[in-house]
Parts: sequence; structure tokens; C-alpha cells
Amino acid sequence: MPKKQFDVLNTRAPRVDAAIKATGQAQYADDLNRTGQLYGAILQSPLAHAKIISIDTSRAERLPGVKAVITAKDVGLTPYGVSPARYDETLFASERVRYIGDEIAAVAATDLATARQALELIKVEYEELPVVLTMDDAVADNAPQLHDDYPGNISAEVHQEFGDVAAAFKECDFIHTHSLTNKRQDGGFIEPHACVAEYDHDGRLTLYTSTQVAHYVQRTVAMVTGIPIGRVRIVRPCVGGGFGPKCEATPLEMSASFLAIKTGCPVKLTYSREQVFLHSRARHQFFHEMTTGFKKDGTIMALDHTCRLDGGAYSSFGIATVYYAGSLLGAPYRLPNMKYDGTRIYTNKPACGAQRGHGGVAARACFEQQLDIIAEELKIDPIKLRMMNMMETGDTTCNALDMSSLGMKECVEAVKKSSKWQKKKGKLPDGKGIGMACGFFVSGAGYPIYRSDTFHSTAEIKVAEDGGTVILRSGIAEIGQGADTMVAMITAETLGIPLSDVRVDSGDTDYSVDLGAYSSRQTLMSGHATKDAAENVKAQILEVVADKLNMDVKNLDFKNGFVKVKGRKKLDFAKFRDYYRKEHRGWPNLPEGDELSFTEAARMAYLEKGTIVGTGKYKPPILGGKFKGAAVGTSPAYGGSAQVVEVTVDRATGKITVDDMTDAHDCGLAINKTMVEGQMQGSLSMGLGEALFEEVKFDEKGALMTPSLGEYRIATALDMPNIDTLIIESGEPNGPFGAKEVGEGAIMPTIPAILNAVYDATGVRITELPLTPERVLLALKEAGKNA
Amino acid sequence: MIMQKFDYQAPADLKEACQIMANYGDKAKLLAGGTDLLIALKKNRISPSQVVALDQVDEIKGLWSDDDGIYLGARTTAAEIADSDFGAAGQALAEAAAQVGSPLVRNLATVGGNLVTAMPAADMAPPLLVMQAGVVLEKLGDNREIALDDFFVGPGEQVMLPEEIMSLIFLPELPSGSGSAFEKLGVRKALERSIVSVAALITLADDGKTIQEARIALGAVAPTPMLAATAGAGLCGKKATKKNFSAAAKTTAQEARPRGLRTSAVYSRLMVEQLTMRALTRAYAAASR
Ligand SMILES: Cc1cc2nc3c(=O)[nH]c(=O)nc-3n(C[C@H](O)[C@H](O)[C@H](O)COP(=O)(O)OP(=O)(O)OC[C@H]3O[C@@H](n4cnc5c(N)ncnc54)[C@H](O)[C@@H]3O)c2cc1C
Repeated sequence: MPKKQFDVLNTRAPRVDAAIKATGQAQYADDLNRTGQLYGAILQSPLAHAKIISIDTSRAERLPGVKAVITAKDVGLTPYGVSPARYDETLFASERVRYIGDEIAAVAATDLATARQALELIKVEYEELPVVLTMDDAVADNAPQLHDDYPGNISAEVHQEFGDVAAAFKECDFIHTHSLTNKRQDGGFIEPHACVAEYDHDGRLTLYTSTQVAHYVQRTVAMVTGIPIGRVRIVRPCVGGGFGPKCEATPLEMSASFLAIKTGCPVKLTYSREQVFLHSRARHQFFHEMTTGFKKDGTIMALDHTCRLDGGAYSSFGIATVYYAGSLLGAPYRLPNMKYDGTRIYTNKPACGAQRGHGGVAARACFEQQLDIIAEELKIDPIKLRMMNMMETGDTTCNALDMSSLGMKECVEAVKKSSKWQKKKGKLPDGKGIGMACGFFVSGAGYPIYRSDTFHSTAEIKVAEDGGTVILRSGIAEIGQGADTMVAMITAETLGIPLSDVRVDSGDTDYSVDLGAYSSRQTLMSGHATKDAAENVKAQILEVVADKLNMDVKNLDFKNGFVKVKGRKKLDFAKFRDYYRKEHRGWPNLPEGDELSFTEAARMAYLEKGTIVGTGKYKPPILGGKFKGAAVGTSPAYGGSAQVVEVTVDRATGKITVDDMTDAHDCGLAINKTMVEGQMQGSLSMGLGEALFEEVKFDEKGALMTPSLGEYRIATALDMPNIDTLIIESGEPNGPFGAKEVGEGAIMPTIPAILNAVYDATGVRITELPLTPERVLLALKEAGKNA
Repeated sequence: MIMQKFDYQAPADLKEACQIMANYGDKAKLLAGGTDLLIALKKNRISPSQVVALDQVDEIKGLWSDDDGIYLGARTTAAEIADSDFGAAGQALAEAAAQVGSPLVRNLATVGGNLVTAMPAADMAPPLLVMQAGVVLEKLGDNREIALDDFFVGPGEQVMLPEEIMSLIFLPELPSGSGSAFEKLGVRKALERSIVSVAALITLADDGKTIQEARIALGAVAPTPMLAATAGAGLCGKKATKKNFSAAAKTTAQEARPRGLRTSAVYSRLMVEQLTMRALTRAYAAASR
């Protein structure tokens, strides 16, 4: 496809927030301080499962400096959660606690030390209940039950079949079964959740909070506090990463809100790192079992897939997770028959939720290993097997996902060439291995979390009265990934002005509706809304210019900050230039030269119409299948990626070193190439960490054993090899300027590529993550392949 | 949890430091790099009324030597040790120091703090054990020197009195023909507590082949860093061959007393064997230089 020429997009423009972040001026939620601010602290359960007999807060209330103590008695028991069909949480436990960390009370005091001291003075009497920590224990007969409404500790169940798997298996030459287990993961973001809540005399609540989803926080906080939603404003300061666990309203935010309402003072609350782990809402532990049938020519025929997820104590995103774990295997290979049985199970541990690659990462790791096993069985190169079965643009999966653009084949070719696969596969010395895998991901959830016809994103663009600056106001979530820069670039490109003339004000529910940073949706969805708003502004200005200068508006456009005229007619704008210069007598940088500037044109429009404001909006068309659960996995577009990984395995210690990674990602169009590469690098680092190091552990009482980033090991800079990042641009018809996701899809192939490389190096398949030296060595030893 | 309040003292020399420690005893805690102490303070594992900083006590910083051996100030940082030349005999110590934490941690972490904290996985302990280090403990008007081998008592425990300050670590001059090496196994490449660590030291006889003396020390596989005395002694008088190293490594694995906490005891022992083999091989190469 011939590539369009852009002035702003598809470059390596510096991020709009580069300077404040590089100089330390960026303000995160915990940096904010308000006059008269109080400090909050939350009392959390020390027991994994217990009845609450009584709560006595009187001593805490009497402690000098304490301004408020709140429990369920004060705030009520409004159920909330992520999916409205599964509201299974209340802000504070009143009768029962279900994990170590379950919230019981919150305190506001004049300083943090006093607030924490007050927690120690709250007396809670418990009656211990038996604890279930594993899925097996949770589903056993007579197991202790966590929720009355969810018998058998079944949090969610999914049963789907597309095509006819049993019939297809009969036509298969080979049928192979393989399993994989990952471990509970954590987002490992640098900034723990923090917030400041303010409640004013008019009954308006403003909450400054580190979140990915101001919109959903606004709805949940309004619902739980009972304040009309129009009086709840969420402001998102700079955010130091989210990766999914900041995708829902937290007890932190709601506690701060209630404490602010009760005291009339601003209240700040910040999670400690341990509390981040206790709040969790990160990657589940999955147990996948997959049986794949294929023909001897390599054609994949059918997949029978079961999955169990350890959900922890509450639903959180779990219903979506259990669906995603199945639906995301529909592509990128042609798979005509697919059966899926997924079960999410409650246990007395912190709740799991969404994390980068939501629901699909462990499933992909299992399936892509299976493809390698099949390739070996058939003596076909694993890349060839994948290419034989690969979907192309225009294909639709058995579960009705429409591949409106799919550069998967290009991705595979790119990594094959760049990694010198052919020279290496099967030819590396003992202990060294090469592996590959593919993956894909949604580019924005096709449906909002609550049932609604809401726009998924709206945007507002205003032109400053002098015409010189364009201000974009948007509810989008800049959480470090570069969303502000993305919308700024789209605004500049659409309007035909330099990037430096665009200012972005984002992350405030007052500015616009935006569902937030999850499901890799913002570039496509918020990008569309921004483009729509910018087109609106442009049309308004050009209309005035055409009118004043007697031109056909169709022949006018902006480029690089100037009016461009199509055809032979010349613009006669001397009168307007003169007028503008007089209006701005004494100002520096007055327009000159023989082109009419955007600034002058915008000023003309202002003088005619008043302040120029344009709005834009986006929601996806009706998409996908009609079956139960079709909403999860359905997206206007899908990003795809392929990776090749090279490893060294020390056969004597089991230690794995990742030597090299090659990643190709089809993002439709790279709005900003550097930022696309940044997402690829970050995804690979997170995937490598999950594959090799990361595991949230609990002791036999359900207490967290890895409460810090010292115990919970994410990849360090030294663990990361150089990554060869290759951008593939397939041009997505449903994306703004052809763009689609890169934020999550890029993590999909990492774990299986590492697993496949480890097999290539050692001849041993490992079915449990993480690949710690001990696990690897014991597996090698069992196979008699250790040194 | 929040850190308890304490007074901060910064004595100008060792004598003043000893005076403060004499006054406050177990109510005072010494602060060197703070990389262990601050964590304990923040988690309220300890709540001293006095924190006594050693950063102005210059007598206990740096390295110097005389005919008897090398003196290592307890306040010397891992970064400084990693950058120092201890010759072939002492290279295990520099190697161990270079693998502590990360550059930021190494700039703060001191050898004294590493020993006093007495974690089983303390990385600088095994090399110091094979080098037969002694530590000098000072208190007001008195001091004593004890062998490092007699210093550790259990996880987080050593023989020091609350008012004592570790001033020096003494490394006796090793015979020529000595070489050492340190091996550490962790999960990540940095910021990693050792799963197993091994230091080995070999002194070759004049023939360059016969082992005159050998010592092997282990980290993270017993309640304290420990010498594998039997394995080391077993090598004396033997030839430096792969076979003999292999037998010594097997014996070392038997001597280890892993508790199966972070990895299974089986794996720990296997790793002791592997790492001992590697350490002996490299120590021999160093001794032959
Ligand atoms: C992120 C991180 C990574 C780490 N990685 C490693 C690692 O890879 N390997 C490893 O071995 N350790 C590691 N550690 C632990 C720690 O850095 C080392 O044990 C370090 O050597 C401690 O020295 P310090 O100067 O910081 O001690 P401090 O924290 O200042 O003191 C530790 C203890 O020793 C006492 N003390 C200190 N100096 C004296 C003295 N002269 N006399 C008497 N008592 C004294 C203090 O009172 C305190 O009780 C790590 C720590 C962190 C935070």
C-alpha cells in the first residue's frame, strides 16, 4: 500500500511532556498538597477469612489529631465492582473479611503518623474462618464459601463452542494436548496509587487520583458516595504507570472521598508498595489445558481448551478476563473449530484483574508452544507452520473477530529475516536456543464496561482568540505511554499546523468523556474523537476564510501552519493581514510573507463567530458476534506481532540468559515511531519478567510473602538484551490515519518465544512459569538433560 | 507503619562513637551505608532511640597494608572494594563486592554492615572466610580481634555486644601462589540475593600443581556463611586436577546445611557442587598466574 505523506505523524517527535518529566517538574498525585490537608490511612484485615464480631473505633477517635474515623456503619454497604452484573465488593467489610488486606476502616488525621497510630487503636474482634488459598481447595466438596451469591466459589464460568470440535478431531491426523501454568503477577508500576479528595461548600467532590480510568472512577465514586455524578470531578495528574491494576475505582479513592466529605478538609491517601500488592487487580494465575488437532500437512483443525483462573477474593475484571482467556485464541491463525471452558474461582487472596495483554498472555504462551510441538512432530519449520495457517486482512475468526487489517505475515517475515532465523534454527551450539511466537490483541474493547450507547471518547478543541494556539481538552489517560503526545500529533496533523502550536489539557472528567487507558483503546478511539474535533475546527475556520476571500472552501486547506490553495486562483488577503497587524501592533512575530497563516485565518474566524470550539466523538459501530460473551474480544481492529528470542541455558544451574530479542509489531500506522518502539520494549521487558522471574507468593495463612520490589522481581536493565524493534504498518481502515494498538499486543509472543527457545536449547518443555533456575534445572534433571 | 522517631548523632571519630555507644548500649544503632538499617527501621523491626552515623569516622574507612597483611576499614563501601586490587589471592573479595545489589547499592553498602547484618547470603562473607579474615571490635577503652569464622552465630546474629563497633577487617598476608574466586547464583543479573554463593582459595606449592592449602566457603546454604572445612582440608597435598576438584565439590555439597527456604535443599546442594567446581577451577587459574 503506498504510504501517505504526513507532516507531523509517523515521525519521532519528542513527547509533549518530555521536559517536565526529564526535569522532575511533573506532578504526581502524591506530590499534590492542599491547604489544610489531612492524611488518611486504611485499616486492613490481618486475617484471610474471618467473621467480624465487632469494631470499636472509640479510642482511635479520641486520639488527638484524628479528625474522622469511618467504617461500613458510616459509609453504607453500596455494592460496587467493575462489571455491574457482578458487584461483589463494598468499600468496608462489615461482617466478613475475605483476604489479608480487606478494608475495614479509614482514618483522617492531621499527619500521617497520627493516622497510622489511630489504626492501631481500632479494635476489631474476629472469628476466624477456614481459609482457601488454592483453586483445588476452593472447589472441593465442603470447601469454605467466600460469597453467598456465588456457590462453589465459582466467580464466573464460560462455555463456548464455535464450529464442531469433536467432529473436526475425527478428521485430524494428530491430536496433541499440552498445559501451562503461570503465576500471579503484579503490574510493577513505579508510582503506587495515590489521591487527594476535596469536598467544597457546594457539595462538589474533586478527586485527584492516579488512575487509568477517570471516567469509571467518576461513576463508581458517585454511586458509592451518593453524590450526583455531575458534582463529582476526577482529575488525573501525571501517572507513573498503570498496566491494568489502575483500571478501576479503588478503596483508596473512595475512602479519601468519604473522609473529605466527613471532615470538609482535603484528604490525601497513598498506598505503600505493600498495599499495591494487596490491592492487586493484576494478572491472574491461569491453568490452561489445550488439545489441538491438525492434519499431517500442518493445517490446524480444532482446539479444545479449558482454563481455570485463580481470581482471589473478588470479581474485579474477572468476568472479562475469563472470556479473553478463550476468545483471544481465535486469531491470528485460521482455526475453524474452537471449544472453550473457562472457570474463575474465588480464593482468600487479593483480587486479580486486568494486566497488559488482559487474559490472553498465558493462553498465548500455552498455544504457541503447542504449535512448536506440532511443527516438530510434522518436521516442519515452526515459522513455516505458522505462515501456512496465518490469517490475512479480511479474514474473520470462528468467534467473529474481523481482521480488518492484519500485517501478521509481514511481521513474521520481518523477524525471520532480521533475526537470521534460517542460519540459526537447528544450528546453534548446545545450550543455545532460538524460538519464535506470534500474538495479537484488541485495539480497544468494542463495548464499554457498563451497558451503554455512550461515546467511548469525546474531545473538545478550542482555538485561542489570537489564533496562535490550539488547545485540546480531553479526558484521555496519559499514564506514561504517550497518549497526550498522540492526540497532540493527531490534532496538529489534522489541522495542518506545527505540533508546537498544540497544547493538550487532558485527564479531567470536566473536559470530555473518555473511557480511559485499557484494552489498548486510546490511539484508535480517542485518536478518532480528536481527529473529528480537529476536522470540525478546521471546517469552521476554512468556511470563514472562504467566505471572506471569495473562495470555494473545497479548494482551501491548511499545511504546516499556512493556508494552501488548490487550483489557480490566488488568495488576496492583504486587507486581512493589514488588519491583523494593526490589531496586534507592537507584538513580536507578526505574520509576514506571501502566505496567509493559520493564525490569521483563525483570528478571522474568531472575529466572525466568537471563540472557535470544535467537538469530536467516537464510538465503534456494532461489531462482532451475537453469542453470549461476544463483547469480550470484539474490537474495531487488531494489532499483531511476531517475535524471535535467543537464549542461553546453563545446563548445570538452570539459569537462563536471554541474549537477543527481535520484535515486529503491526500497529497500523506509527503515529510516533519512538513511542511505538517504547511500547514494544516495555512489553517485552514485562513478558520477560513474567517468563523468568515474577511471582506473587503467599504463605499458608494467605499472607503476602513478596510485598516489595525487592522480593517481587521485575526485569532489571541488565536482564534485558538489546531488542530489535521492527514496525509494520498495515493501514487499519477503522483507525485514525490507519493507526491501531501497540500497547498490549506486543507482550503476547514474548513468553512463548522464550519457552520455545528454551526447548530449542535443551530439548525440554517446561510447563510452569516462572523459569527460575531451580525449576529449569529440576526439569532438565528429570529429563536426564542436565550437565 | 511509620518510622519511629530517633536522635541522629554523627560522631567525629572512633572514640566519640565508642563513647556514644557506651552511653546508649542497645538503644543505639550504628548507621553505615544504611542499606540494611533503613529497611529495618522503616519496617519497625528495630526502633532505636539513637542512630549513630559512621560517615565522619575516617579511621575506619579505606584500605591499607603492612607486612602482616591488609587492613580493610569496616566503613569501606562495596564499590570501593570492587575497584580495589587484592591480587590473585584476594580477587574473590573484589568479585563478590562487584556483585552486591546494584551500582546505587554498592555506593552505599559497606563491608562492615554486610558482616554485622549477618545474613546467611551476605556476599562479602565467603571470600573473607576463605581469606581467614579477622575482625576488630572496639568499645570504649577496649578492643578485641576475633576470627570471622567465629563471628557468625545464626541468621542475623553475631557475637557483637550492643556497644561494640567493628572498626577493621584484617586480611593476613597470603603465601605467594594463592588465588581465589567467587561464584554467585541469583535469578536476576542485578539486585539479587544469592541463591548460593561460593568462594574458593587455593595455594599452590612451588611445583605449581600440588595444592598446599585450600579453603572453600559458602553463602546462603546454612544459618550463617560457613567454611566447608572438610572439603578444603581434603584438597591439601592433592594435585589440582578436575577429578580432585570434583570430589571436593561433592564433599562441599554434603557439608552445606541448606534449610530449603527459598529453594529446595536438593537444588541448593546441587548448586553448591556446581559453583564450588567453578570457583575452584578459577581459583586455581588465578593461583597459577
Ligand atoms: C536493594 C538491595 C540490594 C542488596 N543486594 C545485596 C547483595 O547482592 N548482596 C549482599 O550481600 N547484600 C545485599 N544487600 C544488603 C546490604 O546492602 C548489605 O548487607 C550491605 O553491605 C550493608 O551495609 P551498610 O553499610 O548499608 O549497612 P547498614 O545498613 O548501615 O548497617 C547494617 C547493620 O550493621 C550495623 N553496622 C554497620 N556498620 C557497623 C560497624 N562498623 N560496626 C558495628 N555495626 C555496624 C548497623 O547498625 C546495622 O545493624 C542489598 C540491600 C539492598 C537494599
